[in-house]
This record gives sequence, structure tokens and C-alpha cells, in this order.
Amino acid sequence: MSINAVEKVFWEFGNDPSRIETFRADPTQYLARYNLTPAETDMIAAVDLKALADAGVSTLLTMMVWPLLNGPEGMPFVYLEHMNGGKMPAPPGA
Amino acid sequence: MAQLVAGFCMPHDPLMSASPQINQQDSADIILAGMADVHQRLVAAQVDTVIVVGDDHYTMFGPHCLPQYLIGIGDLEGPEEVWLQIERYKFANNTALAEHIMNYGFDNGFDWAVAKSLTVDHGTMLPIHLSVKPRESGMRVIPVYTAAGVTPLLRPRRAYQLGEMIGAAVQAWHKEERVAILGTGGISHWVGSAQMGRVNQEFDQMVLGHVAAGNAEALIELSDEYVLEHGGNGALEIRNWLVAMGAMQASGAELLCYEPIPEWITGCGIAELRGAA
Repeated sequence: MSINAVEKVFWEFGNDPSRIETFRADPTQYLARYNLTPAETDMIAAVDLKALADAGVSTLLTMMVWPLLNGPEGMPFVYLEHMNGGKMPAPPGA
Repeated sequence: MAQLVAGFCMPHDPLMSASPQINQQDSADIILAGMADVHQRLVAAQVDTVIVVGDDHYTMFGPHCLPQYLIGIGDLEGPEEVWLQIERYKFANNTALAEHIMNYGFDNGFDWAVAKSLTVDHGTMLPIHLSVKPRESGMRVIPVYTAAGVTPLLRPRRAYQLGEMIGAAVQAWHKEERVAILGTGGISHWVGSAQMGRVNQEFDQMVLGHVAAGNAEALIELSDEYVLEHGGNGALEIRNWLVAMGAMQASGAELLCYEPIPEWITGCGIAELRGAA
């Protein structure tokens, strides 16, 4: 798992969001410039941030790129649901 | 000779400005009043310059360069993030003192990373905006960033030693200036992970208890694994508190306020440090 390369991809999204249009146009071609494994490329293309976070990618970055890749609607709840495998966690103290 | 006349441990929760109106308003108001109280205490102490210790959140520094600790010695502005609901503005650095602290570090085993200009993120901007209020107070700011949010992390003992060096550097400064230090961040919060929104009051009270007792060693001895499990990745920021405790040679602290605020995803605590006994 080349966490460092994944973090580079995400950090560059945050630093220059115009990159996301290029990424969306052809994720595989866009990601080919980075030193990623096929599995990592697939996870990024699928915006599977939970899997990437579970593998050790900084959650500062996964939270940063979610609204950039999926839109800000529903933040932070939709993101939190995604990170919990599609189910919202119980509220604290419940 | 310069003096370090005040020190605080306090939050830098970005939701204090991005989302000040919440359901748990009483708790939010207590913390916002606490931030204002710090400002009043800085004014009462006739502080000229405030050293604000925070950490980057992958907003300022990238994978290409991750400093263990950095000092800003030149032009300052903030915040970096547009979503904080704070319009970006410039504020003054005490460049002479900042350069002195930088050089004092170089001469005493601390090879700072240095920013000749800096646009700060919420990690220092929230305390600057809410507690230093440089535009109205005229206080100058020296920002210090530690690796407390992005790995590889600054070791806690080194954070305390960094603070000791900063304190010694201030005392060695030849000008009559009154300096304060703010160690910011924490306490328990899980940033971006599946547990985001969890607050662990028991952990927070343990941390505040050690701060109140001046027991920096107990905080240094907390393993990152323990902190991550019980306080979340955001609690790793107690490194910034250790910098302030080291600078002040803190013998204890007065707890000003504490509120667990799940809507702000953070246990927020503010304490004023007492200097060496």
C-alpha cells in the first residue's frame, strides 16, 4: 500500500481543485501518473475513502476530498455514514 | 529583558467560527466566552507579543514537506480555509523576536523549519482571531506549527523540550517585551474517522487534571496508541499544550472552562498556566 502516493493525490485535489475535473474525465488516465497499485487506483476512482482510511490514509485528507469529489451536500453526515460502512453511528451517549 | 508573562492551553476548533450557533448553545457560549476571557487576561497582563502554537491539518503543508516544527518569522495572514466564516486578513509578526527565537533554536539544537511568510490555517487562526484579536489589541503574533496532526508526529518529549527552548529564548531576548504563549488544539476529537462526533469526557478530564497539576511528564508518557484509542487523532494535539507547558515551566494551571461538545466534534477545555513555583 503506497499510502504516500494516495496522500499526494488527495492533497493535490485540495490544493488545486481544478485537478478534479481532469480526474473525473478519465480517472484511470489521471491516476496513471502516480505510483499507485491497481487496487489503490480502483479505490480512488470509486471514492472508497473508508477503505483507504482503513489502509492508513490520513482522515484529514479523506474528509477534505469527500466534498470536493461528491459535493458539499449533506456534509458531514453523508461522509460519516460512508466511513461507518453505510450506517450512521448512534449519537454520542445513546 | 523580555518576560513570558502568561500561558494558556485552549482549543482551536474551527467550528467555533464556522458553526457558532448549535443546539448545545449553552456549551458553545461558555467556550466562546472562555476564548474572550483569554483575550481579557492577555490585555490585563499587558502582553505585547503572543506565540501561538498549533498544527497543520494538511491544509498548509503537503506530502512534499512536513516540518516537525516550524516558526513564522515574516508576513502573516489567515485563515487559509474559506469555510471558517472569517475573512482573510493580515496581522503583524514580531519579526525581531521571531528571528531571535529561530536563531536561539539553531544555536541550541533545534533546527527549525522556517516560514518567511505564512497563511495560517485554523490551527492557529482561531485562537488568534478570538483571543489575540490583533487588529484591535495591537498585539503581535509569532506562529509556531508542530507536527501534531499529520504523521510523522513530533515526539511529545521533544514538544516539551521545544517549549523549554522557546521559554529560554524569550528570557534571553534583550528588549523589554511582555510575551504570552498559547498551546492550542484538543482535547478529545476524532477528525474525519468513523468515530467523528465522539467526545471522551473521561479522557479530557484526565488531560486537564495533569495540566492543572503541572504534570507534563504524565502527558509525555501517554502513548500515541492510547491517545488515538481514547482521545482520537485530534487529541494528539496535546503536543501543542506541552510546548506551552514547557515554555512556562508550568507548575500547574487554573481551569477556566471545559465543555464536551459533540456538535463541534470536540471536548473543549481552556486553562491558564502558572509559571514555575
